[in-house]
Amino acid sequence: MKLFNVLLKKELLTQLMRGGGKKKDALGYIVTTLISLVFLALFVYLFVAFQSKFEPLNLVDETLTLFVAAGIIAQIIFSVSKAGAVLYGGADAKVILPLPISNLTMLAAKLAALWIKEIINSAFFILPVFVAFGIMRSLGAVYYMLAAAAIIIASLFVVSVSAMISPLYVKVKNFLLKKPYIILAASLVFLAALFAVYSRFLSVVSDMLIGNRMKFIFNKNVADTLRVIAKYAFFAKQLTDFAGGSILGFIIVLFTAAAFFAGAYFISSRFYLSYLMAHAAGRTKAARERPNKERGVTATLINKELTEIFRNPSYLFSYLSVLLTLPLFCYLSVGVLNELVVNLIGGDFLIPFALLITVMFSCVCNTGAGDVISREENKIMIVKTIPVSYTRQIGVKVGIALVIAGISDLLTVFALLFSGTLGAGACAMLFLITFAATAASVMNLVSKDIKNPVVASGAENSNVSVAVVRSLIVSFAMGAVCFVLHGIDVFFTYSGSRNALLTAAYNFTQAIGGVYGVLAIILALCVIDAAVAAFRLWNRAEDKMKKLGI
Amino acid sequence: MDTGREDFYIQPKRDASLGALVEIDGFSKVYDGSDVKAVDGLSIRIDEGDIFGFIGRNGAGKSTTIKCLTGQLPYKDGTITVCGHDVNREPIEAKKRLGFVSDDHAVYEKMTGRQYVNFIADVFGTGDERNERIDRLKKQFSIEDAFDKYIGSYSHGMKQKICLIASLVHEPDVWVLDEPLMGLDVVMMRQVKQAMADHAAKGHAVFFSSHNLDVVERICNKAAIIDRGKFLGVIDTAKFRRSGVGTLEEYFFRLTGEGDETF
Repeated sequence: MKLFNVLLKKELLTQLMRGGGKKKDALGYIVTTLISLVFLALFVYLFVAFQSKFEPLNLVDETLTLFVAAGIIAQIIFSVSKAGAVLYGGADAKVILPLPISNLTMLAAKLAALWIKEIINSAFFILPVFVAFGIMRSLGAVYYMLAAAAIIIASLFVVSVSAMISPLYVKVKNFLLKKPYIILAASLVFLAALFAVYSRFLSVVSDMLIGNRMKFIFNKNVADTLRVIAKYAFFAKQLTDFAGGSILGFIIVLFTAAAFFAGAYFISSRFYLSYLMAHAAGRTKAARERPNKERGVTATLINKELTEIFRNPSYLFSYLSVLLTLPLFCYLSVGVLNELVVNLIGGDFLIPFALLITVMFSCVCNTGAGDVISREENKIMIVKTIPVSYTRQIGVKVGIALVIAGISDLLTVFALLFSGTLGAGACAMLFLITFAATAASVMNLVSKDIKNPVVASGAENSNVSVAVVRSLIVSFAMGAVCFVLHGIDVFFTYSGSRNALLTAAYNFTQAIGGVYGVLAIILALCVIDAAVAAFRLWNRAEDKMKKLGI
Repeated sequence: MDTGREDFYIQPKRDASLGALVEIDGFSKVYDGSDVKAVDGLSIRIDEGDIFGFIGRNGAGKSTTIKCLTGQLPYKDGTITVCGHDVNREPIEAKKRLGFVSDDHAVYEKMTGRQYVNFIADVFGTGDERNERIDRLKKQFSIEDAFDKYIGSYSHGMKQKICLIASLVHEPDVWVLDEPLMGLDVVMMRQVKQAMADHAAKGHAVFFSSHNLDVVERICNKAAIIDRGKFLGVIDTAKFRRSGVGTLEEYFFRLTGEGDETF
């Protein structure tokens, strides 16, 4: 028992700890927490909205069941990879294998630590639903205590299912890691499907807020279908019954979770040792001999950067998923948001929305390119000792990032142009503004990276968080200015109001050329921002890199 | 400490016209935020054909010196020149004359061994002569089978071999190695020592730091001693061996005041 406690403490420390390094990414934590709270609030809002819409159709309990089931499924999806990494990742293989620790004890400690982590994670997936339901029904303290117990049992179920699926997940992942193009293709298909669902989701939210077309969603046929689906969500149903005070529900969920845990322990014990030893052995197959290839200095630097990107699944994903999914994402978001505003306010705001969405997501999605120095990690030694100027080396890194950003932005405006969302003139302006803003963002980020690199492997990089926040502020500011000035135009045209202030504002917008004049001013500001960022990056770049001590 | 009085110490020459491959003159290094000199007043000269050892305990300043020599760390005091090119003022020209092997063997693991070696050959502007050199070095370091595999799959020893090959593919004037003998098996240690001897025999120079004083005494013709940042002098190892003061290890302990325990 003592050994189990020691191992459990070690697992909790290693599983709950985030990265190394002295500099903690405080801004990153804040941004992540805020975004999580926003999604949480949205989730609860949807639950409450669905409850109120389905109440006339006698679908209250089923709604709770379905939301809890959805939360459990989401939690399982998110925890499979973590379970795989903890149980079969082999990070501690060389440390654990020589020690006098039974594999079963080690496994039990790992599963227990995963369970504790899942209880914390359920605060985002299942707890909000229970709490929202309790508030809506004005339920007492007993309900909340039972709900808390339900969450603990649900977490055991989640970790058990994740652990059972994870050997297969790890096998598939290890296979795909050797074939990065398959990962890329699959990720892009998944992302495209996700964005299509997201677009539909936005439509539903839009309908909910407007309230006119909900009857097409919340009708008897849909209610009957949901009732049938809820019947199959057996575990979730019993969980909600237990939270409602059902002893039978408690017995069923407890025994179900315990049975799944026993199954997970049995399956994991079959695979754990073999995966651990495979990590310790680390054999590879023979490779075919290839000829030596000679390249010029710039070409070889480009080749090196592209090799690092294409052979690293996470870099490949962050660069190329941006390239190919940003256009789809922007096109869907712009269309749906504009439809929402047209219905709520009246008047077309496509250009301001396109500006806001495209600039924001282009800047935010391209922050992955901004840790080009940090990502060298201990290989910064190579950067510093090869006889190539730092200006050229940084130029290649930044150049590749800007080419990818440029292609992505071009595809985005093509999507808006050929779908008929925006005209050619607006698309051309949008591309130039977006590319200039993205270029400024990337170059600012690289400057920060040179000034404060995070070369320790696994350490947090707060530069990216700062860049994300800057990009959000800049894009919102642009979108807001464009929205307001275009709004004056729309309001003046459609409202018929002719008070002095509105007329003066309208005359001002006409004087600067209407919305295209606004875009031209924004473009000029973005170009200046990019020029300043370029100066900040290249000015004395050699000295800055020279001072980058290691 | 008896530095300078024994006749195996080499007196410093400051005549640049004699064409030293590396000249370090009055070099000192203080890290930002520190008052302590990591290296204090180092002056050494490395000539053609030298296998130059750099010895001292952990934290003595060996790696700091090597990092400043190879352009990884900035410095303000003293001068370091490589084939007449000041490392501070002409860093690219200085680096072109160097081949460097770091102590942690940092290398791009997403590349194959061949790709990495060719990358280094490209940045040093090595032409077709790379083909013969790569074939010879692959054989010399017994890494033919793994040369076209990803470096990420290599063992520690294989990564060291790739770093050694990559640092020699452009036949540098000065081959600089930071703790090259650490963690090597007996076969590989012999391969490295042979490579050093071959490189020096071609009229180039080898400069390496090491804790292995026995090997330094046997294979180097010169050795610089540094202790707690303080440069203690350069010795001629052949004269040292003839002097009868004992082994280099024993002398080092006496010199640095580490006591006279025997095993």
